[in-house]
Amino acid sequence: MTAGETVRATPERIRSLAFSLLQALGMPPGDAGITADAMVWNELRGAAGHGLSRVLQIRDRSRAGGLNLRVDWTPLHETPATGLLDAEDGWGVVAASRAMELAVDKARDAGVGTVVVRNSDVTSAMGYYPYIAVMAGMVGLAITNSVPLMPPWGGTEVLLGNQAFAIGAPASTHPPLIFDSSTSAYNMGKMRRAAVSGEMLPPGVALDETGEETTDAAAALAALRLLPMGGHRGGGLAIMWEVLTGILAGRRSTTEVAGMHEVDRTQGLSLYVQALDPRVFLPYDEFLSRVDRLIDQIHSNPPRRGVDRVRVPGESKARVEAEYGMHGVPVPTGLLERLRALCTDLGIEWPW
Amino acid sequence: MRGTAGPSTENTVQVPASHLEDFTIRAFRALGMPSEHAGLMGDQITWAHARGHSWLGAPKIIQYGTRIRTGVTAAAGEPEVVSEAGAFTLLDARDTFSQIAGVRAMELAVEKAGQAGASVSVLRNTTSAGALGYFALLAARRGMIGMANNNAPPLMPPWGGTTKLIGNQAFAMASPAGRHDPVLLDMALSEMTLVRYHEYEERGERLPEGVALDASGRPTTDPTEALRGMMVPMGEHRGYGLAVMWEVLTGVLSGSLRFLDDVTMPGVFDRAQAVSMFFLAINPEMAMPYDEFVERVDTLVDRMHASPAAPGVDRVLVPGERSAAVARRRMRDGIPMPASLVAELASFGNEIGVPWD
Repeated sequence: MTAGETVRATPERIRSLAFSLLQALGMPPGDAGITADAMVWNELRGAAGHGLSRVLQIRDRSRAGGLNLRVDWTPLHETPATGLLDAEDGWGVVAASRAMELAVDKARDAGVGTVVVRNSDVTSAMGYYPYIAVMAGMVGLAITNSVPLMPPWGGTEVLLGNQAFAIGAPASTHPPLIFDSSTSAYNMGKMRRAAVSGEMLPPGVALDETGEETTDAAAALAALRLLPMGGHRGGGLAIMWEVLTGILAGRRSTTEVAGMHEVDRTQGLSLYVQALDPRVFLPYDEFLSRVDRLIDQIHSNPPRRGVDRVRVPGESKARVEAEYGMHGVPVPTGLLERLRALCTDLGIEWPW
Repeated sequence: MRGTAGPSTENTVQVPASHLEDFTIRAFRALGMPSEHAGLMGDQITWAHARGHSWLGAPKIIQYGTRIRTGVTAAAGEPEVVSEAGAFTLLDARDTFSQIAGVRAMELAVEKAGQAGASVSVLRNTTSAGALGYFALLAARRGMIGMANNNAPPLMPPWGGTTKLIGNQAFAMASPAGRHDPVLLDMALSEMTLVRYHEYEERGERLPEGVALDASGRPTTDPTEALRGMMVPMGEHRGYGLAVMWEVLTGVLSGSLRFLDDVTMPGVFDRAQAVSMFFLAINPEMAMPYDEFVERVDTLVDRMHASPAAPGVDRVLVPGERSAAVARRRMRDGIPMPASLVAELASFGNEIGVPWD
């Protein structure tokens, strides 16, 4: 079997496989359902790294003691428009999804709902959480802090996470806008691929272990000192996102946060999510047609040479989603073998 | 790291901050502004100039004054609440200045956040906000985390595009601290702004790579071409994506008749600007007692300060720290202004019957 071999699976099959495994690993059905839904959404959009393979991460982290699968999600504190959740070292996808659902509930009455979460494990891709707001007809924003990966602007030692965040808005004739980013100039996944293929990094994205700028992907990966997007601007954004997450959630922040590869340590991430209901201001159809108009105007911008067409945030992934939705999601056979072995290990039937 | 403009060789005059503020107040009162509104204008123009945003300071007296004289922006009037929920308010400035209507909108967000925990105000039909940090700091001074952004006139193409479509969307966030000054991030989403292109042009220098496009959308290092051309979003597609989402939160959400490339520059005097703004106030007591929150912010600032500095960097600073130091010095020693600017202000003052001296 080659590493690149895949089989196409329907979203329903992926969901049932993820759901059975997560339950067998000890997640309550509600949390397993939320996690499986997010995995399917990411798989459909071509973000396989945030899909089924995370079942193995959940197994490893929960068995080693870094991840708690039995969380009481009752909010610690609420006001008419806000909530504070303690994720009790639980899976971040569940934490962020439940936080956004609470924010949407608050926004139905108050117009805007804001929720912060403490003691969370990894949230995986951030785009799913604004998508929850989008499905409720709202604008959504979600921010997480991360294990320190960036020096502060002008510094040489890591202090701040690259603070992934996402913002989404519903549209009508177009797929929703989903902007999913981090505050670093370069993406970690791309850096790993460059290190494997021996490609050079662009200038201005990473420091080496001596604190000097480097374009050598292997040296950058060894040092893990990312530079912020847009220089001091992205560096400033990373600090303000830390205020909204690690500082405001009231538990661990900056250097107290652990990485997801330390399987036996709780991560201690913090999250900030917000939902805004446009219906307070405008008839919903009017809001949607305004978002469509924004997208249409961007699409009609003449592309520069070498660019086939001008896109809006989230568009490339929405195209993958349309294709995979029709023809199935390619899943590596190697991953399926590992999940089949996990089924055996857990004493459950292979659900396909 | 990018070089900034050096000192001008032109004669400079030290103007006491109180003098700039007093002149601004007298000028706007003479132009028909109620005293309290003129006071807000004086405070903001002086604040921006003292912090080093000189292009958003004294020169704006003439530009905003001209907007009043041409009748395109009203000197008086309060914003009107169009619709609201417990934590969400839409206001219409009815073509009055953001320096007044924006303060009202942020004050309303702060007031509602007192009960609701966090609150958003959106404002439509106003003017360019100048230094947005002022609004974010207004929330921080009342014990809340503040965020403010506006949609700017079209200055950048979408990523991969070739014609101007979207603003560089000025954006500010502030947080109160305990022992330290509030943390204040005040930025735009472009790699460089118009005033910097002008400074490079005046000095006859080339721009660094990657900060400007010419009128046909090709990269340029010629500041004159850049001034006829377009800005580049910070962090490439990331800054572009953020600019699109900020447009959703401002122009799209506000329901303004005009948004995106229909917003006009403050120096266009025959049409209302139709700027929209977004203001967020978060009460830290949604999560913990206020004292505990500011202590946590102090710890963050202390950790930043304790970070080892890169070669050539004096020390690691938090956002807003450098500008706050400049402002303290200028409030004490006066604000340096080119003699030509002072002459322009004096001449404008004569036209409206308000002597500079």
